[in-house]
Amino acid sequence: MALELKSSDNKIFEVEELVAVQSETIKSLVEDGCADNVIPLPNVDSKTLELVLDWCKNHVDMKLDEEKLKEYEDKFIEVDQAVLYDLLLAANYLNIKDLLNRACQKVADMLKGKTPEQIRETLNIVNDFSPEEEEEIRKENLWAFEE
Amino acid sequence: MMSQERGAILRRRTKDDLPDETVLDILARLPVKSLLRFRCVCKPWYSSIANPNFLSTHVPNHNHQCGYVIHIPRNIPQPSSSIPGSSRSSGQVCTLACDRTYETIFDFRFPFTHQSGFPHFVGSCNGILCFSYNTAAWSNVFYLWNPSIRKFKRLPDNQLPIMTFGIGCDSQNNDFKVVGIPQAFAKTKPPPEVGVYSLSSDSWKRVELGIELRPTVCYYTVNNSTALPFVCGHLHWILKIVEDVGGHARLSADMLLSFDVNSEKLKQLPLPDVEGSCFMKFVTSLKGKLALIEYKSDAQPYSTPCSIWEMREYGVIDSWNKLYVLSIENLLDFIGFTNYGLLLVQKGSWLVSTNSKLEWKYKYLLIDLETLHEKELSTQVNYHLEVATYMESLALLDGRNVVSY
Repeated sequence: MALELKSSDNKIFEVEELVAVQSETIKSLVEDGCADNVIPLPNVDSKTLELVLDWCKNHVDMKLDEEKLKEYEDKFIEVDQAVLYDLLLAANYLNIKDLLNRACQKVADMLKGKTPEQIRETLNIVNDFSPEEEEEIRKENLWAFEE
Repeated sequence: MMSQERGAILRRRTKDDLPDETVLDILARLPVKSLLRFRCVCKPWYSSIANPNFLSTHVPNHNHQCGYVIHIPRNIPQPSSSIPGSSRSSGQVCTLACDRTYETIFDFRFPFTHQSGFPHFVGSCNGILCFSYNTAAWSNVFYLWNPSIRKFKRLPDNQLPIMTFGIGCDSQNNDFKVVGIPQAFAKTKPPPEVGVYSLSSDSWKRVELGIELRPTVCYYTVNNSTALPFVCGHLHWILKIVEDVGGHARLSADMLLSFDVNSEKLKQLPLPDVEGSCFMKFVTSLKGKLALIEYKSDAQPYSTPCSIWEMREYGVIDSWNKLYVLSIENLLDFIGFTNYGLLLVQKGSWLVSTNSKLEWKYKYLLIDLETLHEKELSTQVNYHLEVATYMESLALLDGRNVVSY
């Protein structure tokens, strides 16, 4: 059975139910009988949705081939930060556990060696510490900043 | 869009910030060193990282092929040691080694010392190492140490009698507890008590032993010098039982005690059917299961027959399963199992040294119980070792009276 999904920029994607229900969000809509018409996804743009659906389709196709799947996943997640961010938001909104897991891990790997300033810039976080407060915190664990 | 020109910055969309749970999911995958740095990113991150609930979800995913083991020098001086009273506490070093190959990764020094010299290893649990020092007044001073975030804490003093201690974690309440039972006890009034320290309350208390004791019987904890096994939320002790039968002391069947760290209740667990009480018992953990080594220490000169049992299903009466039977030559002591199921033992023998003197040498070997292959560990120093599992953890972060170094 085929489902129709509509991205935030009004592009329609026709997709097999088996593929689409990798998303727990879509799965519950189907189970509640709300999937007869086009399913609007206002939080996901077409570019991201296309990638997400590719992930879902490959997870159905390669389900039995662990090695091939891992190779696909490794290649899939090598995207630039802007795309990764979008994938993360989409995976969270659509509740696709394995994609969310992989994307979180990739972001964690990226953030690992950064300084606090770089973290703030990357994730758009406002520094609500005063310079004195921040200095105190640095002093508590000086070795973590030095090596 | 302008922001796409700058490679390091994600698109700034104030209404599309990552949800909190996703941010926490990402943080939970970071190594502790990064987390300590990121505490100053913003106030919500500062408190989230130290939140006990976050601590329990933190699982850094390192691409390492092996787990870690810490070699900790024990406090027994070697027989050939010449200088009495030489303070070795300042030289106490822990060695972090890969537990598959036992190759040294790095050494780190104890950040604390005590005037009585040698630390006794109480145990390790979820990244925390626990040590005690015997003070002059025959009581113990305890330290909890988290080497991954460079923090330690000396526990408040206790007025407990001489006890055998272990450390475990109460996963339900995100708490660590140090527990001791008396080394010798009997059915007395008042009844014997268990000493319990809880990190969350930062205090010691006594609880009743709570198990049925037989009259005319004395109970003794087996004096293992290695850490008590913490398995399935319980700490374990072996008790030797001496019965008074018509005025004569008689050795009765051993008892296995388990202490539920969460409910703080003791109970007796079944032991496998034994050949006789002349077999010594060593209880430990093997790949997360409770394990028992039975051995006869004076059967033949220099060769110790052993049986190794595993409790397949924790607490279930008939689930003791005999895994291996073997004989170990020149065995001095069992130390424990590695994460891969290799048995670490200490052996001793007389060797002729370079200046033609007969010297007693200790050595440590990893025994593969499937193949019986023995691998000698290259330890530089001729003293005793302990084994613990090193884990990155945020435990002790922001605790009371915690010292950073």
